[in-house]
Amino acid sequence: MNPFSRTLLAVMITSVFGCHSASAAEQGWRERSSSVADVTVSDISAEVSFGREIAARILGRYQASNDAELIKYVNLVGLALVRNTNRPELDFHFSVLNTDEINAYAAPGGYVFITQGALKLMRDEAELAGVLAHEIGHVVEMHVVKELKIKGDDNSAVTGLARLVGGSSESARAAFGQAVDKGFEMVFQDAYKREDELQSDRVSVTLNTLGGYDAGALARYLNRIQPLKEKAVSSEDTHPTFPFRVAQIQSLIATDGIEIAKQSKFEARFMSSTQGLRMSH
Amino acid sequence: MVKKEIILKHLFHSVMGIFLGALCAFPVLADSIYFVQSATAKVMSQPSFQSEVIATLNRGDKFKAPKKLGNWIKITRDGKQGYVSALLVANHAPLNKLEVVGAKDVTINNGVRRRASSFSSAAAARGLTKEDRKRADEENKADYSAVTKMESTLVKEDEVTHFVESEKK
Repeated sequence: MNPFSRTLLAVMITSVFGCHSASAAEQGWRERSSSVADVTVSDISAEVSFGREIAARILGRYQASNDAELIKYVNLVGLALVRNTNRPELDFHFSVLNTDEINAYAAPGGYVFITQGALKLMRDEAELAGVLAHEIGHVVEMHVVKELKIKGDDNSAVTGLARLVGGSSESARAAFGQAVDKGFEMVFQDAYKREDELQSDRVSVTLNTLGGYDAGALARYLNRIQPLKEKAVSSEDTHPTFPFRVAQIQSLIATDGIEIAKQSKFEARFMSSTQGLRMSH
Repeated sequence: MVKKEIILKHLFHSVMGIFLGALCAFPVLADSIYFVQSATAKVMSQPSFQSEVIATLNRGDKFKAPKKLGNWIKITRDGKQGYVSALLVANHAPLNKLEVVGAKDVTINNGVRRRASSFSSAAAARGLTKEDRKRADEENKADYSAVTKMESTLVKEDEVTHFVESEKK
């Protein structure tokens, strides 16, 4: 083989393998980092429908507040945060649950809940924004959707089951119901993966910063509820502890050079908007 | 001596070939296309929200970027280098809400659209049957009317704008 042919052959071989590995790397990156890079519109429709089923179960467990002013206020804070996400195709809905449990939940497709118990422990709007932003993070990063592989095409196990739901198969319907059960368990029992939880905290810092809110608000809130929630925190292997989460938030604030002093808390507006909640007890 | 020269010559051509091949493959990794999804996206001079804003992009704006740097994407705009938060962009053009509600079977990967199965998406959207929902309702496991009520809390876009603007005053 002459030298020119040898060079040409080497170029071709390296290019083919290089392109292949580059494509694979790019594909892998998309799967890991992007929210809706490789999904279809029907996937998103399935995501919303699936999330709606989970939202119905949450509302079957807890009654929603009838305080229209409070609901509107929480929606305004939430929707202002949503403007700075990469999911403009989703309609987000926010609600307050009538329970003294201290929690917040997010179902796929944009259904976000916060409990009265959590609201009562908050001191300002930045903390409310921080918690809502964390839940919005679970939605925009599609943590439940990715875990349960909810898709709108034939390749999805769940949708494969859903396809049969239209027919007469009782077993397929039961299986779909089980998939919803699993999604509900993930959302309701806070059974997200460790990395998903930490990613949502990072989203919270970013959304609060973009919204002009104190980026450390979620950390302040977590520190306050830690003594009350300690028993609920499971193994550190599967779920990040509160101190670990707080440390990550503080580290991110430092790395991104965020000056908390310049950010707002909107304490007065929060207090006046949630006044009814505190007066009712 | 001549044999050694020949070996070195062959080795040189092989190495050159691998190097040129790598250069051909590199562009695949090099650039990705991004679309701004948020209402606006500030281009910062550094990967920090506290740095100088050098440009503002709007929803739908498209740009090529070489790589993601943690939570940031490095971008060159009007000859200037800057950074956009990775949370604000995606690899496809932004979809409007009606497209999703319509649930057309269209892929949105990198703007390339193709038809998929209409049957599966309709079924996915259907989820549980009406009977299943009624049963779940009756067993007090789910409250679909409460979801409908939650969805009916409509907040107009200009109300959100007013709310955000009033924060700044």
